[in-house]
Amino acid sequence: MTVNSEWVAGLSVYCKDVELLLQPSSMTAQTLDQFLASVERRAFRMALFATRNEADAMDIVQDTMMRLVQNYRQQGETEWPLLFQRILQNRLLDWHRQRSRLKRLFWWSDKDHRDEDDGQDWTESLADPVDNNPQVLLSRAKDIEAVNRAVEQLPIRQQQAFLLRAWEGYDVADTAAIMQCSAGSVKTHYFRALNHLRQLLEAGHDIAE
Amino acid sequence: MTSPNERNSPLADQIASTLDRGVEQIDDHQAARLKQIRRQALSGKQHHLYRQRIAVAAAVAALAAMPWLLRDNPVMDPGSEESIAYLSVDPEMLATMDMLAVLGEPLDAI
Repeated sequence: MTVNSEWVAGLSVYCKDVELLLQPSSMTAQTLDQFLASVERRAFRMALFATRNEADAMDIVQDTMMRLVQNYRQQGETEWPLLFQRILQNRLLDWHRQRSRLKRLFWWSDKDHRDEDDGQDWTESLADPVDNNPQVLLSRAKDIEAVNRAVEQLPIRQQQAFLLRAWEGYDVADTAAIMQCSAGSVKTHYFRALNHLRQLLEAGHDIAE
Repeated sequence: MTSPNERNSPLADQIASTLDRGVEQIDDHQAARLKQIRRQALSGKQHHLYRQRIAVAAAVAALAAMPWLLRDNPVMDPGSEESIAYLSVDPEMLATMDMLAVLGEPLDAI
């Protein structure tokens, strides 16, 4: 007697769904707590890079956690990381857009260079790198304060693309899904970010705000 | 030569490694705060620091505006000597002004 493989696959998916539905809510809460505990520090650091304000960063991380818990707790555990990042990056982008609107409304200042990357290459405004020695560059990249300052200087979209790709380890497709843009845009933002970071670390100075 | 667009370029890897070390340097206060907001998120309670600030600012603004609002309040007791409303309609002063007007004296002689 042969067993239909498609029937078996469908049955296993059905059983997994039933298992999820029957899982006690306390188990889900415990798993969710473990997941949030594993991502909270990195999420806070990302939010701090984007906002440069501890209170705002904490609020954004809290909002992100709340939305994940309220809207997506029943999703599979494997989906939580991607969902969490998408919510977090959307909140950070909203924060930046709101800040830009307020600045234009009350201060009538020029657009912050850290606002959305609108296609301009901000590396063109930087001075030529002082030292092209890759070993020197790598040694400077080991300095926590220097790296934090450099990442903070990136425009928001470049910052997101770089942190998601290089730090969080997402591929281009997942990064594009998180940032809700095309794969080509991700690659462009990432390339500019890396170039920008290289120049900032080599020059060892910050872009004037 | 590795393309700068490759995620695993030496510079990107080094920066990522440095960022990992930086995350470990979050201070105890920040770590405790993160734990607190995680607990609040799981329990459904939300506490926004900026809302607290807005509430404090609104309370301060209301306190600062109180004297101005009370100064224009027409319900103040006209019998009170400290009442501005009373002073503005002092019958004795009005009578004095009328007398001066009859005598042809300047009204600022009071």
